[in-house]
Amino acid sequence: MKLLEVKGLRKQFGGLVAIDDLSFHIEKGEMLGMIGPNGAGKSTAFNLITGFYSPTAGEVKFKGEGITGLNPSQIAGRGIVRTWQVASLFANMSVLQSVTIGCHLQGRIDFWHAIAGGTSVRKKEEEVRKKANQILNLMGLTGFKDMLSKHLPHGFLRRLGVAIALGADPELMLLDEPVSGMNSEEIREAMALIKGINKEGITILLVEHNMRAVMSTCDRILVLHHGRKIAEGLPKAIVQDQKVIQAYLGGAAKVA
Amino acid sequence: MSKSKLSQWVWLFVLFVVLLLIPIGVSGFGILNIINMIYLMIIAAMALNLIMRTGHVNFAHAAFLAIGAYSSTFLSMKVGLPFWLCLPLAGLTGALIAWGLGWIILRIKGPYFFLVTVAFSEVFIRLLDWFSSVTGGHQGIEQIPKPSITIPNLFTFRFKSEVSFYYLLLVVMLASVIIMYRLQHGHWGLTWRAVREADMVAESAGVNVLRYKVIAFTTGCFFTALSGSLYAHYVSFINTDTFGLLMMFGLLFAVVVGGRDYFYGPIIGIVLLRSLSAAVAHMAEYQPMVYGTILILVILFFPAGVASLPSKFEAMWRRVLPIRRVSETARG
Amino acid sequence: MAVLYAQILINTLVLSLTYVLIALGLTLVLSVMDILNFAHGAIYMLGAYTFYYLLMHAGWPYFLSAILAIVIIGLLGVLLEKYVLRRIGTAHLEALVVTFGLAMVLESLITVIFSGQPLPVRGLLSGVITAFGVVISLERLAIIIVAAVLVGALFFFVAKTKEGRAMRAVTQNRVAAQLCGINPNRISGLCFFIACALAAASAVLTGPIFSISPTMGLAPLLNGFTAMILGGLGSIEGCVVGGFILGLLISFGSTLIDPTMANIIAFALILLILIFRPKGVMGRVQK
Repeated sequence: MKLLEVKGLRKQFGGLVAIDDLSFHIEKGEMLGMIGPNGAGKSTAFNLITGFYSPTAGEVKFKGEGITGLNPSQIAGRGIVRTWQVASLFANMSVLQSVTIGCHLQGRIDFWHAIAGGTSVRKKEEEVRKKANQILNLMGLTGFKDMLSKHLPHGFLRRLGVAIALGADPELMLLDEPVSGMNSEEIREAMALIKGINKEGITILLVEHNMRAVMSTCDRILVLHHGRKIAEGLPKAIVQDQKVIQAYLGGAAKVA
Repeated sequence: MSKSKLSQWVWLFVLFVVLLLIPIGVSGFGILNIINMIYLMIIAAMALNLIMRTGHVNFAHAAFLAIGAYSSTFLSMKVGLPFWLCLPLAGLTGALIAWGLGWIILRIKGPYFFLVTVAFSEVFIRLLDWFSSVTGGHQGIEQIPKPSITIPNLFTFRFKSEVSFYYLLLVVMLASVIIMYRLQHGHWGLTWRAVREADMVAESAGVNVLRYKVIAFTTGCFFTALSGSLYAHYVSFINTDTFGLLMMFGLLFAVVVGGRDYFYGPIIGIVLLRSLSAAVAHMAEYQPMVYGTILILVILFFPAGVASLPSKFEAMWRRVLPIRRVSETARG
Repeated sequence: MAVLYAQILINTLVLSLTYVLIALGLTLVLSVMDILNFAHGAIYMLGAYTFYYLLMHAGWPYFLSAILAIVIIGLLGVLLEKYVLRRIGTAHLEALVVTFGLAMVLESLITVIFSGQPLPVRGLLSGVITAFGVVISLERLAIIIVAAVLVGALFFFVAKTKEGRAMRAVTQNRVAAQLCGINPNRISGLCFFIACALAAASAVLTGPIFSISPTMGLAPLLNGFTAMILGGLGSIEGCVVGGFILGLLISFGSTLIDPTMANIIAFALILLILIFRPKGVMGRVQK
């Protein structure tokens, strides 16, 4: 089933066309990798899907319903979440608190009830606490529960980002360069973690530079260049695709 | 109940009793009116802190004090409503205006939001002057009625003395602080903090950031307007100078110097502010200079505010202790 | 009627140029130091009082007092930058509160020293010239000329001189500028010197027309911000454009409607622009 469908997406910033006529889809349960050289438009596409930009043209559909132009919190409500580059997490809040925010959609408490208190409020807080701890456990962050995010060792920050995203019970998770800055050991761990999440049933769209990480774990690959899709398919095919090679190497090399 | 929770409640009870007995304890010192003003300002300062928790420094805060004061005065003097209705209605007026304004201006980021609120407060003061037929302009409005409780055919109790106001203000202040406490220490407080820390991350987790900001702003302005209404009926005189730059500055001072990341920070700040102003009362023109200098020094050297000092001392103490122990063993 | 409009136009020129001078200072500080300087109005006021003191109390000659006031305020700016602003870096809340606190301190200081009463400043030129039935005071003419020269000088400085280029480099990327051998702290100091000097210059120029008072800085501050936002943040050409648009609106608004209206217009303008054409001002990524 097509979980996410992108049709004819176009984003223009003044005179600059960042994305042009982008169309693709993601099947439920699969792991799609989006790659491309710098400036290809990956982050723009990312922001378009998650509601941080609104497209100049085109549409995005999730589970058959249009989500184009919705704001990010609404999109999260539909079941799509994203992760962030490390620096922008909740620096002065603890790990547990951060994941609790991630569980916002479930843990919302009415303003007046919050003031009045009562058993239903306490019950909900307890539920959220349990859920947040479960996620921490899953991500191996339980030991860092009360540590401030800014003190967290670098490798764990990515996990925290994923943990926060998991709180929203997403059906589709968009990962923004999850392994950049990691060494090969960390990359292997991180990709295994992500694959594990995928196996749990969460569809994944991965934007990443690291070819090896992407090739070995993704079901399908999408290649962007200058804001356009230049290739789409199985990893094996992409690696040999002439257009892709030219895009990355500037057209100088040829594959035998 | 667990032991620590029980001891917490005991301490609170003791505190409550102390607060109840203060008028007796300080009688004759003539400082009860200072304490009353402190209680009043605490409400406004805590409200400002609540708004600032979402990352917005609200310069229009004093304007909302004015909104509360003038609407309450209008309701009681022109419409003839009793104080007990004017108070919540004044709060509501502030909340409604804040709600309408908030949806528009809270989309704007940090320093520029501040700028907008500065402009708003400037315009607001001019409007107050312009409509001086209603507001009394610089002449102001005098003899604003004090609150009274009337049980028909039985008695009428008028709040005239400092002591009677003490209890009134204490009750309202405690109620406001408790409500704000409950909000700040639960889901709402956490979400507001997240909105300040990283609003985009919060938004992608499903937080409707603008709505949370507007609610914080509205709540803060409600309490501020409330405080304005209390002021009007306590001092019984307001004019367009009462809620000006100096008052705004005082509130900002209280929040920043007291410690804006601490719930009780603004309380400390207000106590400090009022004590200072009482101390330099005879040199009124020097006041802004004194506050301003302290404010700048605090920001430069103790940005976390006075409320952070205890934990800083504790940290320093812990660092000193091991050294002492080592030197003792070396000798022995 | 045409004469009335022409008169208003002259006032507009004067008004606009004062806004431009202040807005330029604000823009420089914003671009180079990433700070919205809420003390700018107070510095402007300080410039006015320094000039007043030198001219009226110390009795020094006009030009000497003017130049000296500008230089003194500029140097004061350097000290402020070095000992106060540099410690803050770009922490926004801190910068806001400190600059605001500074404004209060300065205002209070002047009130204590000089009293809160408005004080008149002697003008240098008196007399008028008449052209096409329009009366222009020499005073105002001088303001227009000098201000225009100052603006032109600033443009030249930023575009053509080595320091000016260094400044532009810092506004784009502080770290990269460092790698090129530019000392960003020195540039910040220079930038603040210029900004404060411009504010003082504006005060010196208009002192004789509007009498001075300790609270005279707030209106120019707000108007300066409005002009800056109107013209597009971070752009010095924008300051000129914004200053003129604002000047037109306010002088026509004040004369034909009401001065209070003028302020309301300014506020509404800031609001509308910040919401609808933010140019990077809004918190979230541009939608």
